[in-house]
Amino acid sequence: MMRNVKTFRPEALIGLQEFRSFVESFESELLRGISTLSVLSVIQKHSQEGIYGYQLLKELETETRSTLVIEEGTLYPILRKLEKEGILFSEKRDTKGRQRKYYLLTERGEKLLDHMKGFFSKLTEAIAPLMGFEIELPKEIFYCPNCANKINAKEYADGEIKFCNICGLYIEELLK
Amino acid sequence: MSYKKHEEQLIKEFRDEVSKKLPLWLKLNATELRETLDELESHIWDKAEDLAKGEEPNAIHVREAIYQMGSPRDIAKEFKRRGTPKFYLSAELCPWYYKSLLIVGVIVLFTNLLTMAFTIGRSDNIGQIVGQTFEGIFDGFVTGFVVLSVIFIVLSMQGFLPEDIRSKAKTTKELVTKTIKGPPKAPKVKSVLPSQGSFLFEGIFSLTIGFLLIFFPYDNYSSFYPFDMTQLIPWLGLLGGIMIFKGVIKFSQALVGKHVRFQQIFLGLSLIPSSLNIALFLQLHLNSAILRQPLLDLFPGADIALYIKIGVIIIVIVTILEMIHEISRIIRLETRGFPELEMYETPRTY
Repeated sequence: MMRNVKTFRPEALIGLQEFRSFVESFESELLRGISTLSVLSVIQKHSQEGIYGYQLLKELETETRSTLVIEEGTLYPILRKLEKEGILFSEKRDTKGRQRKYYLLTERGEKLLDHMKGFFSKLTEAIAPLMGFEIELPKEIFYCPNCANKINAKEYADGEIKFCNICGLYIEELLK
Repeated sequence: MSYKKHEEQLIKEFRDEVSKKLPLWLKLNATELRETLDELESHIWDKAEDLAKGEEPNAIHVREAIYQMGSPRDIAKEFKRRGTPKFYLSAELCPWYYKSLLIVGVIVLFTNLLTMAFTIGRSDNIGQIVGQTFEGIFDGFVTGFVVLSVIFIVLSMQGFLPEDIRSKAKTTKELVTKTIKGPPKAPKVKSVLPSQGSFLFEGIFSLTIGFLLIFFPYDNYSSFYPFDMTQLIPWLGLLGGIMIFKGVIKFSQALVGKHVRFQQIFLGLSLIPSSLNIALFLQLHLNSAILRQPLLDLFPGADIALYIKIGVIIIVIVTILEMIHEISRIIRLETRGFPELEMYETPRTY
């Protein structure tokens, strides 16, 4: 966010190099994890057909109302890293005479993302009062009390899952 | 130059610039490098098409798309930011760094001790040779440390990860899809080191023989010897000293049990008596007169000098092989640890 501020009054606090570098560093640290989470969430939305880099950035920009902007050149190292870690896999397809690389979540990636989302949701809920607002998490989603894994309550209702697939906690009883 | 060609030229220049700045680990993998650049190019065309709003993108659109992509340096920087920073090295490369230091350290120790053994074996100025050996070991350690540190810092800065170095690493995908059917079979384990009992036995045996060789009252039993041992007694005393040194090390190895680092230290120390052993037998070869005449009295007409030479060569070769074996144990301990420890590690499955 701070990097996007190109014009400011010279006497403003942002004009101080120390202040600016501190905030930039803070934002960069905070955004690093959130960017990965957001990128994976957008990819999850395209779990059937996959999504290519440019489309992903555009969607991210639209979904976050241009608040979370990943620099174009830095997206691909992130995607490559996630692919190497087995969280994503890719498929090459020819479109308009050009080859595009479509990214999809692996089974492991799906599970990891559920956990990341669960942890982020619970964390945001917990720290929200400190920021002066409150968050109410949706009732139809169950969060594992042991590891904060996000679990779809419908799958519970269908009796598909009895244990948290991240930490192995027996959760069937907790839902009743 | 046609308009289309000009756009392609702009992209080609951008690809070349990025390629130059990319880290070494990526440049070394031609397929991955090509795929990375192709993906960046595809992104530029997508962006340019977007900027052209349905029209055929022209050079201005392409130039703008390249500008928004970010500088080649920034793109490359992100590819380098792979490891977890730890001091000046990435945490992922640290174990490799320590292993390399250990291997280089052991090789420095081995070569210097071997050089010392052969120099002492052919000279009488022992003090100076030992001094030079310690100097050589110190210089070797410092040089190895500096060279390895520089190499690993550069690799860390380039974003190298262990999987880039391993030639036949399993792909992450393979690891992810791996499942275990049924209870895991107990792995066949081959012990890196002998048992504590063996160490204890070797220690006691070496200490007993060593003390016997030093303190044996040779003069009291002179009538039992088949030949005159007067000149040989000091040599046997030195051999006894080496055996005591070896015995103490073996005894200590029995005491420390399965402590990897201590075992490695003692294995490293055991190279010293081995090298002194070589020196001592080479000295015997150099001063073979102390054995030659008494043995000639026993076996008249035999080529005693040749037999001594052959005996010394065999002992030296066996001792060097023993030293190499000890070095391999140090390295195997570093890479594998004790087999018992490995059994507690269960593979992760997802």
